[in-house]
Amino acid sequence: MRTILLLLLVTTFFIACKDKEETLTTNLDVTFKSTFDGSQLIKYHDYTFNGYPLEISRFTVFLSDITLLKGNSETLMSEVEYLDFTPDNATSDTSKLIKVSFKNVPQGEYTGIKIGYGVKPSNNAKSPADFPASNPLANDNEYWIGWHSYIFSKIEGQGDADNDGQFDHFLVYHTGSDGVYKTFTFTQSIHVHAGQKGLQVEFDIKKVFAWDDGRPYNLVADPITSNNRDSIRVANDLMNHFGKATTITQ
Amino acid sequence: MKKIWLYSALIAGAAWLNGCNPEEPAPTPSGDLLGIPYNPQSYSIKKPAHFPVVAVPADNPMTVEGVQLGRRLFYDPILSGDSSISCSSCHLPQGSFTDNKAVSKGVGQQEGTRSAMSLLNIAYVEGAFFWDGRSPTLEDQAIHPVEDPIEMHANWTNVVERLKAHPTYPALFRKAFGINDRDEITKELTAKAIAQFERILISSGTSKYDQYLAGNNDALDDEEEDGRIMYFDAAGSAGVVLPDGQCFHCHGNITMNGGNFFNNGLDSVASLSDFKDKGRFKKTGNPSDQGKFRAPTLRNIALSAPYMHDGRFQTMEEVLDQYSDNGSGVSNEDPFIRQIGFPLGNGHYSGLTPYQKQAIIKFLHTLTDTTFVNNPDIQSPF
Repeated sequence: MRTILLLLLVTTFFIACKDKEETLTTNLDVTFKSTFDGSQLIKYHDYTFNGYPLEISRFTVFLSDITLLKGNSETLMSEVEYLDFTPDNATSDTSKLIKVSFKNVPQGEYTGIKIGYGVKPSNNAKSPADFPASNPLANDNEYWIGWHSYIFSKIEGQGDADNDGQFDHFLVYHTGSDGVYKTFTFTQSIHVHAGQKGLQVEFDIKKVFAWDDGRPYNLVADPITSNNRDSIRVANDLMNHFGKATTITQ
Repeated sequence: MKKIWLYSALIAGAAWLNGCNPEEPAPTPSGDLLGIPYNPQSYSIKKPAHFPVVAVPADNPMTVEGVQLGRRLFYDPILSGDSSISCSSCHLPQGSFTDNKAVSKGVGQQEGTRSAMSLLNIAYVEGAFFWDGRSPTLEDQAIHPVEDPIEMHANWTNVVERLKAHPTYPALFRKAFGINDRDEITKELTAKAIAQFERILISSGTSKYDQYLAGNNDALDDEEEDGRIMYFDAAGSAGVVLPDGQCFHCHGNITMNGGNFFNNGLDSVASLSDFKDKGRFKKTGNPSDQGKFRAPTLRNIALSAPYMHDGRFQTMEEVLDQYSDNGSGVSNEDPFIRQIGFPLGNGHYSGLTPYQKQAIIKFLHTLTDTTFVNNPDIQSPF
């Protein structure tokens, strides 16, 4: 018995010493939020867009290779996340705040974060059957057989583009295919320390529907993405807009 | 560092005390089932290679014994008040685990309000069972029909007592779940067994469409291929111009289980509160969910008529006619319902021609899997 206690104490001593030499890690909490013109997105709420009322009924997005940057070094936090801001089990129309805790992130001062919007090509080449059930990419309903691609993002809704009181301009923006996968780098200080406040990442749908110069996208002329070349152009435009539609704060 | 020393001291103290107070021997288990061996064999769910992996909950792992028990319970009217109705009364293999009725009938031939949903590939539905998604798991779903007055009209306390007193069930529960005594039979274990059986109800992979997915490009004829193109908004051959049927957006891809909730434009109402069946609203309480229902699987759809949550359509032709009309103008209708066919401008769409409707129906027939419905492993064991 005495020998066991002695061994235990000696082992504990060496473990304590070893900890000091390894990099300290912590969990980085990130809250993802969907907004429209800066306010938390509410389904079926009448927003004003380009002079007419517009409602959003669904918003989902895949993110890939979420990576913290420190100079030239990179720390991968997550290979893939699926964010459904308007889940069908919600009890109200207010969009969901999605909190993700990225585990064991090395503590330190970072200079930015890089995010892939959509499913990166190496994963997009696979299909739901290739992933374990717990992986977001195992979801058969988020895959588009016709395009051999995951559905990178879904924005659905309806507008009253002619202001006649009828919401009869329907929007269905489902983006996908390797060509519209985008990566954006956000250069800003990010502090990762135990007890430090996490990040908030906001996606403003109004900015997804806007060109870089602020002009509104023509949702009436291009209300839908489906399988033709013109739709790829629309999908590409919208995915390009996600960069400026993203705001990251701490 | 201080904490490490504190914990070490506590561990040392516990070890010291342990040395001074030897553990009392573990009590000998008692129970009338102890003489029956408990050696559950892991059950490997058979699925086609191109199907996703089935998620199995950690607290209800699949075993041969669990599946066997669940299969027996599924087909046994012992779960109903007057022992006349079993799960299979509304979920028959030949109907792809529906009863081919507009609305199901329970004990005493009481008529329900909704059509029995197919259980084919039910293992792939996530978190929302029944038309309104009110049950979060298969295990939870299996509990409700037993006490529903228009379904099995029983009381779980009485049902469990019957199972305990049965000449066969206690031993089967022992083999499946390792209980020591028949008094440990519960409704939760009963539901777990039924859920294990339901998880094996998976397509065989032998339908014409599955042969196409497996790489046989000749599996579909020209009309079926046109239907497939419209179903999936897929690229067709050069020169082929077909509209989008928008089907897969609600009904999904491989398993075609959909999974989400939609107002698919069946009824025209002045306001959402006018829907006779509130659907998803029953679970969420969100007014915008009134009139929304879960999109069911389209696999074996040719075997599971009638269609829709209330079985209002007897044929697939009626369904396609409905969809071709591009909705009923209700505010929470899914936008895809309004965009079937070719765009005509100003937000209007053409709908589908008779040929296009027929081609989609022909494609839906390629989803028929008779190997599944005739699989002896899922038939009644009685």
